[in-house]
Amino acid sequence: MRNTWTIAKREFTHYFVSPIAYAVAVLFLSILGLLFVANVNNVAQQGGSPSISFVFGPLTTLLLFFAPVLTMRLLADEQNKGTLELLLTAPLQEWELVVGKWLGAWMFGLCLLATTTIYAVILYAYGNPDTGVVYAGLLGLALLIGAILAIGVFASSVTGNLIASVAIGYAFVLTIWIIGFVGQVVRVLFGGNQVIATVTEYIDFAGHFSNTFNRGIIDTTDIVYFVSVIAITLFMATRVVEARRWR
Amino acid sequence: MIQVEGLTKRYGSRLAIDHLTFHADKGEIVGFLGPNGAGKTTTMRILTGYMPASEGKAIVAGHDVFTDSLEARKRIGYLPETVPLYTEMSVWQYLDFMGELRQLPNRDDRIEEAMESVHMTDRADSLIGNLSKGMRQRVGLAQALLHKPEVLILDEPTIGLDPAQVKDVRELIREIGRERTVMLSTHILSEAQAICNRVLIINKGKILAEDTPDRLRARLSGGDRVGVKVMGDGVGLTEALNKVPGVSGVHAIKDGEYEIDVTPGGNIRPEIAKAVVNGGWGLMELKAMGMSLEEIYLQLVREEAEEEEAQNA
Repeated sequence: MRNTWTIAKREFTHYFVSPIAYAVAVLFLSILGLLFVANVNNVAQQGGSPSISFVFGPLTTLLLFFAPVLTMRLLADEQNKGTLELLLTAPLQEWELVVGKWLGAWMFGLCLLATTTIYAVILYAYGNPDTGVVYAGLLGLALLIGAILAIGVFASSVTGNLIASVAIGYAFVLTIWIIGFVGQVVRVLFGGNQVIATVTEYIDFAGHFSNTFNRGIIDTTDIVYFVSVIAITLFMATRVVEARRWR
Repeated sequence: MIQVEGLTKRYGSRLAIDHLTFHADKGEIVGFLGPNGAGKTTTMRILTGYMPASEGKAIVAGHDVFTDSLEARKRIGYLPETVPLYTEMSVWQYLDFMGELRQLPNRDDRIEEAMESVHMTDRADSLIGNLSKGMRQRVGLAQALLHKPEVLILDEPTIGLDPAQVKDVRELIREIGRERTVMLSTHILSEAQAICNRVLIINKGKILAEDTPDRLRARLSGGDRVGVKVMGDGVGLTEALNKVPGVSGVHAIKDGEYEIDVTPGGNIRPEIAKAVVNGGWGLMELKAMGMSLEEIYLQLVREEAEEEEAQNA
């Protein structure tokens, strides 16, 4: 456990010396800021009350693009530079390494998320947002970020090449993102209760956030979903790192 | 300290190492000598717990590296062939990170000590990415020494260093080797000769010979060599030298320079000198030349190749 923390700390601080992380943060926050201004302006002109979900909704879409970039080097770079040999010959277990890597990335993700509370502050200052949505949204996003970064860690474990790592990350994230759409198509084409539709809609990433957390609902099903995604992908990444020894 | 029995590693159908058996005791520097691809790195990776063997057993500092890997790893300092460094960290940050991973008590003192032993105390805050190759090698070595391991495993520790740095690193290894067990690999023969108490010559995953550098030389050379240099081109010297009892062969190196194979036992250098002077050649130089480890090694590898050919024929 202590080793996990050691690894996590190093990864977290690495984000603050890495130009890629800064580039991601700048892009991420400026796009989010523009969307916030545009959405609030739009709703205000129609006479509605702006909600924090105007920030959180687009935020999930942005994560889709930025998360694999944040995680690409975590394990791939260690393989590429040969430092994995250093870590695997230190008294450190594979799961400690993998979980530490994820934890470091997650802490950086939570920092990015924390900056979005500025929008909540603005909304409270000038309007009357739904407090439930703020809290539920933040909780949901924390989990969603954790899950999407865990998928990135897995993508990073299977290759020593950064480009390949990003590509694999996108492939997984996009699949899990649009798979719910497959379910909807199946329902439209074949009607009602199709097993395949139920399954794909359950796997669907965005649905577990936009239908519940982002409306102020905290549902244990969604919490279990995100925690399982984290656990399963990190377990797979650990096995991949272990398997590396046997080559 | 290190005990290896029947260690074998297969990559698919290729045998990287083939039933290796050897040991290394406390206070010993053991050199692993062989051409590239002989299986040196593979053996070291198995000993450090980086990869498992296909067969066999390896015990390091009292712990089996397969079944008790974490405990064994705690007692090993390892410098892989490509020095594993985080270039964006400073020397201190890097050593601090490794010390934390190894959960060292009074970490700062240990880092200080390790940096002192590689003469880097003035570079603590330098970014590793800005260091020269020799400096990086030293940082890698500091990392391996950080936890005062009982066993130090160094894969080609002097490769890519300039001659002055090579000398420094060798001295450092000798120093460490007095109290601990050091196993190092090299394909530079003079290096093995200079620092190792014992040398294992390995080729194609098999140990060809194992002994102290001096004894290896004595055992395998089958005799000594004498170098002779005379004034002029030395016409007829070969015949004259061949007549001296105890000479088994004369090789002309270039005009006026000869190397003479001498059967072991008996020192016949005076006779050679007499033969040269009496023949009227002006003797410029006469020296005893032990067969170098280099030649022994080439001879061994060649012998093996010949044996294989004989078997195949």
